[in-house]
Amino acid sequence: MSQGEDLSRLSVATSPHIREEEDISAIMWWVVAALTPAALFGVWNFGWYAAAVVVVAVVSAAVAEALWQRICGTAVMISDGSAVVTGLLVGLVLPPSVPLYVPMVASGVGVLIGKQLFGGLGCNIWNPALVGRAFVQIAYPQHVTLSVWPVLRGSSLSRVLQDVRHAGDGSAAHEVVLGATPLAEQAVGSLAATDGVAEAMYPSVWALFLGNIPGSIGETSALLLLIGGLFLIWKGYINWKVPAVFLGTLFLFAAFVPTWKIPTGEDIVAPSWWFFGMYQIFAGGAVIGAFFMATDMVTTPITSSGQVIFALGCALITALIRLVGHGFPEGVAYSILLMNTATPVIDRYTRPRTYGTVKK
Amino acid sequence: MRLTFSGGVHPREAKDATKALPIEAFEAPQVLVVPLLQHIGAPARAAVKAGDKVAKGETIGEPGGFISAAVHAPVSGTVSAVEPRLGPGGRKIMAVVIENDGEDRWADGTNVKRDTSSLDADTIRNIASDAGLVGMGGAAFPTHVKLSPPDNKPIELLLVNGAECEPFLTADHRLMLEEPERIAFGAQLAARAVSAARIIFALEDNKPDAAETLEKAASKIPSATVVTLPTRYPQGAEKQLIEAVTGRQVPSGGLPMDVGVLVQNVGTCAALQDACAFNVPLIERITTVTGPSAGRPANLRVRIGTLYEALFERVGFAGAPRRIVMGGPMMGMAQGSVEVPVTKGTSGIVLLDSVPGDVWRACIRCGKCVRACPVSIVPSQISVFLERGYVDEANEIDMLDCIECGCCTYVCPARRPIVNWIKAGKAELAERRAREREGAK
Repeated sequence: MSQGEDLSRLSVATSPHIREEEDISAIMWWVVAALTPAALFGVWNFGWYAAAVVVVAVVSAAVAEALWQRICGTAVMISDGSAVVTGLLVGLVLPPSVPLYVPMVASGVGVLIGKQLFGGLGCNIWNPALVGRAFVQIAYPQHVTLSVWPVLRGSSLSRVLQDVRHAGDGSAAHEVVLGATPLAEQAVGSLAATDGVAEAMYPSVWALFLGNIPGSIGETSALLLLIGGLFLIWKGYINWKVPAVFLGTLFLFAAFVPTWKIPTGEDIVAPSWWFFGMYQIFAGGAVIGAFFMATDMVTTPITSSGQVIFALGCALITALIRLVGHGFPEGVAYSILLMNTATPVIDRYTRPRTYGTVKK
Repeated sequence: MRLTFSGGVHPREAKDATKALPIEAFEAPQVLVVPLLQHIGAPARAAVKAGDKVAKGETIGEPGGFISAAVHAPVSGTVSAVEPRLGPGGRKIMAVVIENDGEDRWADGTNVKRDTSSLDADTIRNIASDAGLVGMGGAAFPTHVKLSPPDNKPIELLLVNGAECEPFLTADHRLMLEEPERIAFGAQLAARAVSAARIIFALEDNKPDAAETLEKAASKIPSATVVTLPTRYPQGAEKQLIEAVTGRQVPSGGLPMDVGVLVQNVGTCAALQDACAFNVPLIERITTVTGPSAGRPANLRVRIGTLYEALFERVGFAGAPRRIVMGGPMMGMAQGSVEVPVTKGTSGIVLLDSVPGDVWRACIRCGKCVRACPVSIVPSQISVFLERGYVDEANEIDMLDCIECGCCTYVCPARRPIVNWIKAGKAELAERRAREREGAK
């Protein structure tokens, strides 16, 4: 050519010839970013050991992924962030008191059995982090069950909150906090309080919302999880209907259905429906599950209507496990795993109507 | 009410480089290569041979069937060869090579004014056929065929498509701005040919100036209105445009006439007026030569048969282009050579300085393609089937309804070549069906 440009290396391929910038790793790292505030709060709330649990979970997930890919001779993809997301979620849904081999095993099982055995990212049926969580729950129940939740540290925020709440009754602020979680007690039907007012035994709904309560490392602060979740909704990564339907249904079910769980007696004042409903949403894994796990791209339905059905199923199974089942206080993880199993069926029956066709 | 279709994407428009540049005439080059197949359908049959003298506007290719289009000499001069030459599809196709004598001498009877007021539907169709008109938005479907709906499919509405939703392209935009009368006049003739009672001019809201000029031109036509649509690709795809403007969906496997609509590109309307009012066949078009690697991007009025290299000498480069695309970057065809001629469907030539990678990963089911798909199929699932060669399974979930707009592939974060697989899947299915028909005989 007259301009002297080299035109011998023209690339030829089919359209489209441009791509949106966002790739898989961008999505994954934004999810990591969205979880970070809740993770940092967990460390602040529970102490440095909680940080160690999370770091071990993340590193174990990444190492397991890299080792597997090395052994299989495929490209090592840990920089795409998907193993980091799995590890981070594993760490955040474990109690801060677990021995460090627990996050290691959970992440390893989650990544290897939960994901890589199925063919890696995109091919797995179940949420890898929850596979890991379910495994250690069964393998190490003594470390992962709710009865050993730690007592809150007497941090300034919690003290203030509790001081406010207990103003007048003279009880020392941070000593009231429980050994067993409110969810655990609800499940065994012992919500009735000795002093006659059930609600007084527990942190306020406000404290639950802020997260100054016992629980798993990253699941206590509903506020920060909500901020991260809203960010993902804004980015278009998750469908707002999933957490809305999940948490809304759970609230309604808890608030209005299970009245039979509350023992009645002259000296007992049952908690209000509001209190009961809010506890189901905020005291436990429902918020992190609804925003970050029931929205997992790979393991949940692909259409909006399918996702709503999925969320509804998660909420109902969670409610059944928590409120109707006996002895097992937390149901979020198993509800999501069960609904993961139903995802292909939901997808099949929620396929959109193709342009110009009549719905069969 | 917001007029739009479902799905779609909004790539960077990239039209700023050329949208304010007036159309410039590009002088016909010394040698022109005019393919006999520039349209969908059967190739035209050569009506000239090497050594023949031809005049501008003279027929050099006769339609090779009903779904075919005539081809005309874009300049006066001498036929130096009728031989296979590289076409924009990447294959060699029969072409008439003309040595330009520089005189631009019109053929007898062409370029003369004709009174259009008495033209009836049949005559307009015949003129469109004789003038070699094809859809100029890019698909290049013969216009006279679209103007010939069967009696049981009455056309109620003519939709004049000025959406120009592809990034980079501004040829239609400039035409609407500078020559709206040609478009309006041609639209009236097209409406007359199909007895359409209404005309709607439709364009995207990123061209408010063009909406104004069209509005002015349309105000003289009692049955015509102008609608402005949201800027969203593929707004200009026939089925999506119909859905956006009328709310109707063309039945799967059907044509716009099934819902009483005829869609014509603005350029085609302008060409129809040239053919009817001046007996000027389709021998030139406006094309946008642009892109990050284009030195001086321009909207050029170019003779059909002009080789890209001639245009590049005028436009120049800004660094070596990595890819040369005929048409827009979403649906256009990559060219492997600069010795390819401008054809009736060359809405633009886009010089890209970077190309997408060719490494893809497993589908992570993010659902972006499902939300982007303007025909509401599930590209992710279809791609998972086709990746493994399951063409029948893909067909069962409406692979054939894909309009190949490329939205799914554009948004895919796993970089999956979804639309590429679908094109291959459709081809395999068609081939298999052809074989089955053979076998049944």
